[in-house]
Amino acid sequence: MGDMASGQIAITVLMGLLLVVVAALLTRIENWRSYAPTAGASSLTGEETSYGHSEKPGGITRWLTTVDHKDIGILYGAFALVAFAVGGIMVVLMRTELMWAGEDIMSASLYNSLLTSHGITMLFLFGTPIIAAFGNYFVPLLIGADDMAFPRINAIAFWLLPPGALLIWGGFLIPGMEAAQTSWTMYTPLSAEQPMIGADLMILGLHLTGVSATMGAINFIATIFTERDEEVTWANLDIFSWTMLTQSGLILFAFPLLGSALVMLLLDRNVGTTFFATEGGGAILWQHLFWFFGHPEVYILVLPPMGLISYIIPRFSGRKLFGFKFVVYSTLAIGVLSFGVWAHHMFSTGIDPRLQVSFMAVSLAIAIPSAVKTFNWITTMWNGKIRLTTPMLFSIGFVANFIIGGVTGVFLATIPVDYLLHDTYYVVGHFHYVIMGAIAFAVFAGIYYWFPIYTGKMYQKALGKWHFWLTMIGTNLTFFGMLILGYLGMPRRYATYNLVSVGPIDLFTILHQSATIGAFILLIGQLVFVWNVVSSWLYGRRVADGDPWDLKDDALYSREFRWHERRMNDDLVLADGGASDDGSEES
Amino acid sequence: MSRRLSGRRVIYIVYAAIVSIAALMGFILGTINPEGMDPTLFFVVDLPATPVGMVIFGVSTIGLGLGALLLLVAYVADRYDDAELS
Repeated sequence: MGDMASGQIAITVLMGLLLVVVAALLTRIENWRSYAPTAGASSLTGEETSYGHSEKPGGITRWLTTVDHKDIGILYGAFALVAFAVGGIMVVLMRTELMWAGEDIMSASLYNSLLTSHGITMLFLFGTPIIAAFGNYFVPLLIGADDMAFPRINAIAFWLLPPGALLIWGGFLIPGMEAAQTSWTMYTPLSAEQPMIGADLMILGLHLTGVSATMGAINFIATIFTERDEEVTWANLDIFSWTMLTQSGLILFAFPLLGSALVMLLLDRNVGTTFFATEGGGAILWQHLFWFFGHPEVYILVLPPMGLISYIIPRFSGRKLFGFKFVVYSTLAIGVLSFGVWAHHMFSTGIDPRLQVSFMAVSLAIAIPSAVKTFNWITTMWNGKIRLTTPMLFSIGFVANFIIGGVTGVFLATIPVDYLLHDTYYVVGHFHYVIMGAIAFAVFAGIYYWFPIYTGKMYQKALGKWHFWLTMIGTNLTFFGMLILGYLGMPRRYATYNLVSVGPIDLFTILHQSATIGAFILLIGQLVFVWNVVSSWLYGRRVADGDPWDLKDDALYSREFRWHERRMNDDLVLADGGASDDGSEES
Repeated sequence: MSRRLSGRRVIYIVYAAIVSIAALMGFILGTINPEGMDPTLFFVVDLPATPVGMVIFGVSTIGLGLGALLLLVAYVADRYDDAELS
């Protein structure tokens, strides 16, 4: 007994020493990439290597210890893009399975696991973090702050994500363990009774990402309220920061509730509580709690991308955003209304018809501020002189896809149509038009628009346009097919459709195949994107101009590019967001 | 980079693309002709559930709906736009 205890202590000490040695070694690996032959143009450090970093440690240690908002923004972005790749590969596998009606390349249970993980990965590990990436890097620059209000909390919030991701993907990563098959909605009683530990890991991982998002939201609110430069007032706060602020408010109310519900679900699964059991709160309680979080989550994901679009469209239309105030008001209106629509996901559960009608009314009402934004984007372009750069193409693509996603959503919000289309591919098509066709498009627009700032390089324009057109065509081919499939009655979440009796299998096969071809086109487009980003970052042409988009010509030059220009001129990197001594502007 | 297009032209193209998607959907649904499809244009005009009928249905509803939005955009942009390019 004593021997065993001392043996364990010895192993613990040895492991501790090993960790110290590894950490010490890491601190000595400074700027490892710069030993490559193309040293001058190298490094994924996110900064120009010609500038010094005397205030930061070198190599990997910098990235493990950084509290600089820009570095954390880069970390969020890299993490989110890895998650996007993982979620994307998952769905390519699923779409390949759906090429044919039977169970062909994978088991139905693996399909269910991939389906669950794809949804959670894209929403929680790609969507929320990529928005945090833009927010972290650019909000302090846009509002003239030195950094985020709580830099260390900022770092902690990010570092909760990788373990969260490992837990969510744990069911795939740990041999012999089955991954959760609950779908991202984790409806009880299925999720309470599914025996695999992978589901517990996924719930724990989700909980971590929720804590991360909440900490990030507190930070954004504190930063925007208290760290603004004197010249940045509420009246001239830029539209992206407005949407980040509203989104953070939504996170503050929505995510803690998800956390609580997840803990209750974990307790039901492992300790025998009856929160969601029939003899306790009942299965519907889960749906209420989940969707009270889940619908605001949709707006948590879409508001900052709308902010990006509102920010980018004017810059390539050569004019200010039309009706700036109304875009801000509509953002706030969406924020408030988003908490009053959750039960439109539950029309078919048999909840009180009077409740259904009120939720339908609010759901239809939320279309108004969304339409106001669309109206303002179009009006901004109407009298503008448009430059079809890659970020602008993605922005216009956003507007087009958002109209399709929005109009199909209005139909779904009406109770009789929802009864008909609930749980069909129509729903999948609708929300993917918004999530992929709009949100991801805005993300790409932001990545291309600010590429010169965070890399110091310019992306390859021809590849950017290839990326846009492949993504636009792929998105429409995939999700258009799904709308028709849903209209014909094809139920969602199935690995096979050879037993579906609501329509002809031949027809379903053709529509599924067209959706799968669309997914392959999307895959090719994203490969082009990855190649473009990586090769341009490593070997691209260095941006020599502080105004790479010629924004000064239209008097639309903004704070972040002014900061970028100052940094280039200073020949040393500012560790902070940079105090600005020049004017700011809205929109 | 310096080439600039008229905003109206771009918006017309987007409008045409979305209306074409509605037409395509109408054509496909009309070809499939699922049971119980009974298109009534603007709740008044009965249309046949054929490809042509469904194309008319899709183009008319989406074209007029978005067209009304476009007219509103044109009206507002002409009268209330304080950020006109000089």
